[in-house]
Amino acid sequence: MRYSSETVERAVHELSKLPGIGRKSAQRLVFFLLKRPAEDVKILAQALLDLHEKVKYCSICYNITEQDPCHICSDVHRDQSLICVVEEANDVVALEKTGEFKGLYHVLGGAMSPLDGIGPDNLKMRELLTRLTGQVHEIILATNPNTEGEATALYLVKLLRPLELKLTRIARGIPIGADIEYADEITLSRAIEGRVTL
Amino acid sequence: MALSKTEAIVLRTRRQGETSKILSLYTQHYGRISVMAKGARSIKSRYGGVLEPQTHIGLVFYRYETRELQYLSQAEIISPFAKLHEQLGRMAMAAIPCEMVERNEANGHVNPALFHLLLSTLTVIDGAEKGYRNAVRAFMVRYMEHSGFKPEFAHCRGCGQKQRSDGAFFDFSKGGFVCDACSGTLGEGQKLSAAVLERLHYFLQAPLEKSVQVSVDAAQGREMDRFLLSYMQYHIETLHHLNSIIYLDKIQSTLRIVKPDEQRKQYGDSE
Ligand SMILES: [Zn+2]
Ligand SMILES: [Zn+2]
Repeated sequence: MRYSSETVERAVHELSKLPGIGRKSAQRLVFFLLKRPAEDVKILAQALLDLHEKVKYCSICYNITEQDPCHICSDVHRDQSLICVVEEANDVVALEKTGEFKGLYHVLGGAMSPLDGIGPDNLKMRELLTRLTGQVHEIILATNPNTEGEATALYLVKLLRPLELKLTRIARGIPIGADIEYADEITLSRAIEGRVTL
Repeated sequence: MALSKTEAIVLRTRRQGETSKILSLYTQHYGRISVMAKGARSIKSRYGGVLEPQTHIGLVFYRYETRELQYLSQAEIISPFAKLHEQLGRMAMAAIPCEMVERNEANGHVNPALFHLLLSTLTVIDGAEKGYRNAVRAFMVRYMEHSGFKPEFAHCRGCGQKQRSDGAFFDFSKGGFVCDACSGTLGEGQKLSAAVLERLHYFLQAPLEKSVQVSVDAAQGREMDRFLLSYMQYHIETLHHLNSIIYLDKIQSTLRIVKPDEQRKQYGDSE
């Protein structure tokens, strides 16, 4: 034990399990929390406990939600014929921020990765198939533009192609604000492939 | 600490923090290393697609001999293996040799010949019109040679007699086939047909890119794949339950919409 208090040691240990937090940062957080009023810390603790008590997955789109179906799936003003497939709930948050997309989502819960042993049955693929009733006309594949996201998109194309739906993939290429001369070959060739007629 | 330059195959990547990646690489001059690429997942990263699994890159890194984790300074693509990344079957095949190397090669064990073997395997999977599944089979046979378990398919381990037309029993512990006269008490192993012995022998001897021209029918393919996995796992503990093999089976079995022949072609099996 490095601290004179076993409780402090335990808090540091638990916090350092969080992504991007090492022992040093965990220690800083613990000493910060010790100086805060007890009431503030209670609110934080309750917020963390509520995560598991109240938050669940939407039984339709597998986004995180407190009501089932989630507010997106139960919104009658959204375009029911359009489903955007993403890897994680974070991606829904990012896409919703744009305010551009008015359809529904489907959260796979990750991406296919052979070395990590993540195959199609570890993701919500079958659940996507069951959603594809007559009213869905287009599926937008918005998986990440990396090897795992590409593999997932390729798999979904094979799985969905026989269903004769419109299948689209979000454009990949040069990010806004970047310089073409510094882009790598893969990014550039994707950008040329995905060019649009003006 | 020294700035070191080498070529590498990206075997696997893991997310680190908000925007970084840890790369597992097999390098030409330093064997398997782990390298931290700061900011590599940021949308404005100067690395872009350079640091994706199953690419051939050139890199400069800060090398600390006593540490497990190295730090990336620069990287550029030598070959993106574009076709490999555009087809599910090729991608799944390429993951197998990458996982074998990632699992079994110890940090700091340098083997430039293995680097070249891995590089040519991925080059064939990327470039071959068909039959690239054989490149993975040839990789496995050669990998066993690199690991000190070179299999013998042409001559009896006991008396040196050439194999006959009716096949033979391959004894795992002896690392080769044994003829009936020499068999005595048989150890763990598998009966192999003459056609399979011949093909495996060819994979061991011929340049890797020639392997794609070898015809392997469905039954021979199954026999060969069962043998290769059992032989590797008999000698090398870390090659048990390869995730990439389970993955391949899963995508093949869930995409059964296509005809079996069509399916075989899609996964690079030769006719
Ligand atoms: Zn929902
Ligand atoms: Zn003999």
